[in-house]
Amino acid sequence: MKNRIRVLRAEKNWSQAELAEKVGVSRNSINAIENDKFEPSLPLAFRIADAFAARIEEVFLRD
Amino acid sequence: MTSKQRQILLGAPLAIVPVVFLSVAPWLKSAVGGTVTTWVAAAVSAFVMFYAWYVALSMQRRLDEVQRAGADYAAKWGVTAGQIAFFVLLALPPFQNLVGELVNQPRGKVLLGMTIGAVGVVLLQAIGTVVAHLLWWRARR
Repeated sequence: MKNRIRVLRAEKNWSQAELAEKVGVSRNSINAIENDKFEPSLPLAFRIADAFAARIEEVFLRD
Repeated sequence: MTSKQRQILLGAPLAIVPVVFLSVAPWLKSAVGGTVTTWVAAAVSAFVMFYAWYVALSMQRRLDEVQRAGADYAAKWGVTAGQIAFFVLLALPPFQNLVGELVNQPRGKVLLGMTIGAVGVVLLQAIGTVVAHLLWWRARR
């Protein structure tokens, strides 16, 4: 699963730490998800999408 | 106090207690005898085991899912590596002599006792894993 977290963060001008705080996880966790090293659970994926006010399929893409 | 400092403080007894025991064990043995020292060693081992369990549970409650996955990975491979290391240690004569001297028993007896203990732990862990796995699936039927 790919994701557009880096692009969406850049659009909002948010750091990984800022996104992590909004979503309620650590900065390292956001880094792992953003770099495709970890696939988040559905609830966490929804929380990330909600933080960007986007639909989940706009943030996470199929391979 | 930062969360890292709190974690270090919480985990400190896991290192301090065994180190203190190992450093006072020879003196303790000469002062109160081998039997009492063995009981103290058992109490220290039980303390370390249960305290490690408590620390792991309290730390895990504060982890997010990525950190929890990391902790699960570390626990899984850490336990395996620790078990292998213990059996390797058991095969080393200096370790056998050290433990033999500590409990004032012949080396062979100590080796047999520790091997039975270690095999028992591994066997019970395997049984515990199977039971936990069955319970996990039963809760999801």
